[in-house]
Amino acid sequence: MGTSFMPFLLAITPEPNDLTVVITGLLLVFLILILLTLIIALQGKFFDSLEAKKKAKSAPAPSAPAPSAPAAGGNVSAAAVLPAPGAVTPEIVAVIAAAVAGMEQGGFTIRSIKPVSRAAQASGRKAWGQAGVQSNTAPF
Amino acid sequence: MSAIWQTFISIIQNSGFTGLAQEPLYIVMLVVGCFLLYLAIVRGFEPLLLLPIAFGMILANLPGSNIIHMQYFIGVGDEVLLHPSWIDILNNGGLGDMLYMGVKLGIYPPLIFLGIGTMTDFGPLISNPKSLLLGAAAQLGIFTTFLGAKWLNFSGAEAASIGIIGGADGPTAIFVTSRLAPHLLGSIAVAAYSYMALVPVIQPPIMKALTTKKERQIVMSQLRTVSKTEKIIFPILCTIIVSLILPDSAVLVGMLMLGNLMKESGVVDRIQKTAGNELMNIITIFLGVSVGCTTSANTFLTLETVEIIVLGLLAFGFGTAGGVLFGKLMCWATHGKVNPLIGSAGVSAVPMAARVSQKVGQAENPQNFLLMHAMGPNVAGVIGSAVAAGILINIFG
Repeated sequence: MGTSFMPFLLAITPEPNDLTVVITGLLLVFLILILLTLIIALQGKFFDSLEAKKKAKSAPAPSAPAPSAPAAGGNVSAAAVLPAPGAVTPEIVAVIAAAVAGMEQGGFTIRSIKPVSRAAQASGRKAWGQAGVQSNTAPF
Repeated sequence: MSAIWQTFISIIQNSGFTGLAQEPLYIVMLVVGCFLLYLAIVRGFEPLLLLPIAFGMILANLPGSNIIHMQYFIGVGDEVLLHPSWIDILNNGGLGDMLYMGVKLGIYPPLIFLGIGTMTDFGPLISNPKSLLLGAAAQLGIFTTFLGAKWLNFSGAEAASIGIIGGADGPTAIFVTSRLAPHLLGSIAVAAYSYMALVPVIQPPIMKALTTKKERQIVMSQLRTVSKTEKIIFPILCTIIVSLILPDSAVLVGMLMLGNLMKESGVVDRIQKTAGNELMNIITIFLGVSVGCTTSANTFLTLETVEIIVLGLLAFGFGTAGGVLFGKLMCWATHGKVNPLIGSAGVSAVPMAARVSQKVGQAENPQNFLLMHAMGPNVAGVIGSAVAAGILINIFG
């Protein structure tokens, strides 16, 4: 078989004792994978810093507050149109109102629209992302 | 009239029925082959490999078929061949002999790895490099089973081949066994693929027994986005580092990473598709049939096979436990940011083991999506078992 960079560990005489095989084997598997972990982590940091530098160079986009407009269909209260600033745009309110109208058939009132659920906040995903993951992983 | 009668008698004497009457164990092997076909077709146990293996088993155990001559590869009885008798194989060999050369020369498993590489996304692993450690911890099954096999009086090389079942990686198990203990190839391949199919049954009880409800409910934070450049660098870097440290792993890790580089680079779309589809399918047929052909009554219907089946189950169990326990350690070290359930995916079995983590996690918390987090340890397990294989070949080869 091939030679190794660690002859003192691997090129042991005819058949090493069982415990030596187990300890050497586990230790080597861990050492090699720890080395890979460190290298990948360093590589990740390098690319993250590169990305941050790129972002810093490009001018930050002005963040104008989204204009609020009443959504068509149903009785949408003002509270629904003006939720947390910048989180729910009038287009989203319109889409949600249309979806609810499609489901409910009759009259309805949307009193509030919360941007993200607690569970979604914990996993760092927005509601639409959460729904996407749900539909993709449902078969599993 | 007498000539016709003589010809008739001669045909009967040369027929397989005479062989079956002389050696009834062939009938048992045919029944085992049919049972494995049932598992593959009706139960859906890894059918892509179990079906050709089972059919190869039937072909090899039809008396007089002469499809394979294992005596040319491993000798007869206590006779040990240092090298296969190539001249006999080429002069008298059957289809099975020709196909088995690909196993004996270690050609098929690395080519299967090439195909697996084209289908593997190392993104979750690069995004969370710590998951490599879970892939290492799950190799505990290999080494504890090695000890168990030694305790049952298997030789070092045989014990290493049996232990590698715990890597939950069929091609790796075949690769190691064909080099270290070819006479056990049939039993080990059947055990490895059967248990891989049983991962959703074997793992959940162990995962639940070793974790608390609170731990299983942990929601992990979203993975960072990995750039294309990182995905291209990873296979190159991984191959160079692992192969320099452990040259015996070079062929397995190298082929896996070559396939992955084909995928991630995006410049060799045609050959990437061939490696992942047509080539892999062809090799799967060759590998399955030739491994099935290696099973004969006198090597398969033994106490050793029963011991290998039991040890294989222990290997999967210990591998799962090793991953989950290391996951608990990481959970403790990160103050509850790691769900220990992803540790069980460290036994390769891609992507089934990751699916099991997802399923068990979602049973406790329907809002929890562990699949992508578990894919990290899952692909790390493939690298880990290839490394462990290299170590065992280095020691016992």
